[in-house]
Amino acid sequence: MLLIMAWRNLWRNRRRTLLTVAAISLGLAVLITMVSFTEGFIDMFVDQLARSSMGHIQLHHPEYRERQSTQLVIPSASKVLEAIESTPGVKAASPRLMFSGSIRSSLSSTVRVVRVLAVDPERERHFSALPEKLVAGGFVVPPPEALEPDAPERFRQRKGILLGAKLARQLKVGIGSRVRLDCAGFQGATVALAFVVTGIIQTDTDAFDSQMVMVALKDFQEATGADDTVHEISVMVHDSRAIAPVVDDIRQRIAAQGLDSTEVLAWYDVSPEIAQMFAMVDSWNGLLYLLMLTILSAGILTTLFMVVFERQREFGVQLALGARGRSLFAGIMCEALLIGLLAMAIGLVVGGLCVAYLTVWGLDLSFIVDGFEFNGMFIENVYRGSASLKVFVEPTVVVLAGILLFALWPAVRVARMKALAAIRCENV
Amino acid sequence: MSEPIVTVREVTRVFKMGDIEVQALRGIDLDIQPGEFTAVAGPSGSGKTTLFNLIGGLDEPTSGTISVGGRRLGGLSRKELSRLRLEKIGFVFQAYNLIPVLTAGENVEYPLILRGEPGPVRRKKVQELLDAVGLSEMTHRRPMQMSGGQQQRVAIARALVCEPVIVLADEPTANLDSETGAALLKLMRRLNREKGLTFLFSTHDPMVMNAASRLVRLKDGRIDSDVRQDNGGPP
Repeated sequence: MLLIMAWRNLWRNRRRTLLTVAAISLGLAVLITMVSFTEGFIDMFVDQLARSSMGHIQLHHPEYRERQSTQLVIPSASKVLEAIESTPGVKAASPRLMFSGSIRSSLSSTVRVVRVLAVDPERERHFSALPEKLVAGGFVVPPPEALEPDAPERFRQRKGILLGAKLARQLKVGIGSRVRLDCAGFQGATVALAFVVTGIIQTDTDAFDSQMVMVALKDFQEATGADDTVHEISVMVHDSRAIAPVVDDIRQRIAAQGLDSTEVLAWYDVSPEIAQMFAMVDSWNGLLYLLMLTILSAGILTTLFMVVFERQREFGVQLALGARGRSLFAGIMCEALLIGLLAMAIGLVVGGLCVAYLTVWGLDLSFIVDGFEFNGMFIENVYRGSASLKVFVEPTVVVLAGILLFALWPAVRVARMKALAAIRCENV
Repeated sequence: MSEPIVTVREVTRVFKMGDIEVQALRGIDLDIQPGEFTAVAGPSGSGKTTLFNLIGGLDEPTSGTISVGGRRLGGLSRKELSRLRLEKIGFVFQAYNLIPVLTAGENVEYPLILRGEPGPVRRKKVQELLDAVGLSEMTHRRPMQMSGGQQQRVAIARALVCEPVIVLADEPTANLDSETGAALLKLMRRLNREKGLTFLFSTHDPMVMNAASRLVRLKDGRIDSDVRQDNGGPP
């Protein structure tokens, strides 16, 4: 009976109820869309982060990040890699050696200081977005002459190198050009290595395009005497929102192999400034919720207090007939709940459509801001929304809880009414 | 003589309106016996409605005591007063005061729901009461689809559904034309005679005064006269 009365009471003033429901639905839809947008932005950012060189998780020698010394390596890299790749939740892993060095073309005197990234091409191809940025050649591949079955031994010994487009221009080299790379080996002596340019990459990130060269890990380990060691292993997980348990799992697995001297960190521990930026985005969401709740409070309180004032005499009669204050309280709360459920249904449909648009087509903000470079990553100008459960559940729960919370005020007011004063309309 | 259903002893009620005190009742003593069909009459401001509100537990006297169905109202909690009104008192208001979103049947059923009666019991009682007031065909009509007389009949059925010890009817015919008022009065008199129900009216309608078996006249907050009438019966 309580629900029947509440439902029928709602439609006594159809226009007011529809306006209230429309306002709340619209607010909910906007909230869902905005949360989808910000969550999508974070997801995109984390994805870009992971697909740059960072990954979701990084493994180093415990002192490597602070001292950046080439001597500080992860030993038994293949065993560590095996342990990582058998960890549930891990999508891909890429081991790397990183050196500083200088590069020059065999035909030019121009020398450039570079950062050498030695990668496992096959693993890196499944890991990062860099292979998509190739503008010429292949991704860390040997020169074609080295692959000829009947090639002379000196040809088969040739190694391929991938250069950033800007660096290639500065060195005036192209595919097939020969370059010399000098860098410090593990024993302290400088190692001079000859490479054939087999790939050119353009990321639109200046730091990469002008300073980075990539070579095959195996070639570099042999040439520098690094053996089975690497400086870094980057790990990508399937669910970027559930990194912590994977980090713990990897730590345990590595410790079980007696390699617990390796540091295992999530990206937000490696780059706390980016994590802080995301925290700010979350604060923005909090602000949105607060704004929504403020608008909501005005709508729901106005509607329910109008109900209280208009039906005061009725409440008085109900009390005179023997109704308890709590049953009137429940009646008002039921009306608020029904308004909330109606608004929730409409808001979810409208918000769902907006999220679908954001997820499928994205929002092209190129008319406001072009894609930009951040921390070595290129952030695109088409923003896609997230359609995760959180996007729908969190705003809906907040709005519904807000409605019920604000409804408490008029409901308590009704529950405290005195029968005679209410019949005489003296309560207001 | 049996125990009175309502006992009013030395009841006064003073209203404060700013600095002014208005004495609505000035020491009322009144007993209502079971099965009585009593009208409390008097001009506007004589204290009829105040007395009704006090007997109905809707208001508290400034001094004096009131008992209904053997229970003293003074000192009862809000919850106990609600229970007492639900179980022992039936209200019929001048303006009918049906719940507009409920049908006639649901309006009659409402007090039974408050009492926690099971569904089959409720439906049986509702049908019986609507039959008794001659509205069995109107069960599913909303108040706005019924005439004033029909609404007041529903209000009477609602007042009787919990089998109260007394029905308090505050000027029940005031909003009705004389023909409808007479029919309603006849109905209440019949229920009084057939079921032994006790009715207490406040009225200034001569027709109701004539129909009453006892006529209590109030004047300036005091009982001016208390007369038993042998001719008690509807016109």
